[in-house]
Amino acid sequence: MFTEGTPLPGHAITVNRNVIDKPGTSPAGVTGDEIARPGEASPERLFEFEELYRIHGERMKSIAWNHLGSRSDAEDAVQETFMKMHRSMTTFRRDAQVSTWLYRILLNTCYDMLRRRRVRPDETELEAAGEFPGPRNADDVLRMTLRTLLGQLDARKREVFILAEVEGLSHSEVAAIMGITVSYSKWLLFTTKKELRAMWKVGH
Amino acid sequence: MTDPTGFSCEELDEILEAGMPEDLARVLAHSQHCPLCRDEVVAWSEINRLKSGLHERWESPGLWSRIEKSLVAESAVIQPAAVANVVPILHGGRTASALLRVAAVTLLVAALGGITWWTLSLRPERSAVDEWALEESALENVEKAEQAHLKSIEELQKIVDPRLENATTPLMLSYREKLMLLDSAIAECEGQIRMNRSNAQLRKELLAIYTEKQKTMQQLLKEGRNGHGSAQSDIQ
Repeated sequence: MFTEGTPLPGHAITVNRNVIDKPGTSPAGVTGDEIARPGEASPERLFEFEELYRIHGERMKSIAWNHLGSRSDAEDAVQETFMKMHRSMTTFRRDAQVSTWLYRILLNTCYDMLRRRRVRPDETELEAAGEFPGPRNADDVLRMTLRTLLGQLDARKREVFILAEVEGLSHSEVAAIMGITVSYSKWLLFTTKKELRAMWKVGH
Repeated sequence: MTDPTGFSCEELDEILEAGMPEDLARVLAHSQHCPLCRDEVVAWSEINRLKSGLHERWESPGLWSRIEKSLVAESAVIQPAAVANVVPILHGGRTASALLRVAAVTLLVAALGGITWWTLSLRPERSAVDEWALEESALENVEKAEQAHLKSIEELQKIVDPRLENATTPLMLSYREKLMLLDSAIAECEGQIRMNRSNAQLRKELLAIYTEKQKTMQQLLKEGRNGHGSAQSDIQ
């Protein structure tokens, strides 16, 4: 489990920046053209993506699962995130962190999938329902309640709670991912927790 | 409600958020005889206990290879398709005529490109000016609305400030801290807006913080009017 404030691993960023951001300066001796071309999955880029997956994959799956409620949908979202990242390498801002960008794409992918689910709800809701494990003990029931309450929150509030409280990201990381200020991230989490407590009291 | 130790129910949110052990001990002692705070503390501790269980972990042994295959497959579709269009022309039986065809197509594309560029180069100047004017007028409207909002907040602040300066009770101190936090958030947000005036998200954030500040000051004044124990003693 990630503890509160666990930083997004930084070395993935430095390792990747050499290959991803500086065409022609790859330590692997790959030419810049090969790397900069957005459509090409060069061995070096695959290696870099695999590193990103190894470091962030578990957290990405968990974030997606908390938005989509289904393991197979969460895995699809992670896959789609890497595909989108690969396609848009040229639009990546060099002053941004790769991990921040990765999580931003992941969240957008989850919202796209939720929108698609609303368009054809029967299919996907049944699939999702089939994957939820049944409650094994009292805590499982309470966790399901908490998850339901999270689902009733405004999207940004849910996002900030999942990123900061469940996944243990710091406010500066949450702010960078969500494109908001650190103070607003703190304020949003404060009001979200207050709202959750109020909802929890009503539910019990 | 304020107990004999000077703890006020209004402090609860800030203390639960900060999570300092000594303050939490005060909250627990207070919640023994305050049912409202007790419910709040129970909800807080249950959510805190359960939230870590929301991090879902499972093995996906085939997921990376699936992603890798998709990445490779996608590049294979993009690249060979482009090559496949060129190779038969260059290596076919009628190389010369094929080369002529390529040259003719290249010339045609270049000519069309030139015409398009010339046409577009005349238009953007005007449309860019129009867009700029539109953007400026929209921004001016937003800024005017913000100024009006800010003015009403300043009026409130004139009444509230002297009262907060002499604050001694925990409730008033907690209001003062909250307003200071909001002021720093406003300053940070305004700083970012100065660098990017047209960022709608930042504008929304600023509006939300302004509204919260206004609400907080109104609450503070209401507390005073309703004669809430310690608050009233500070406000009078």
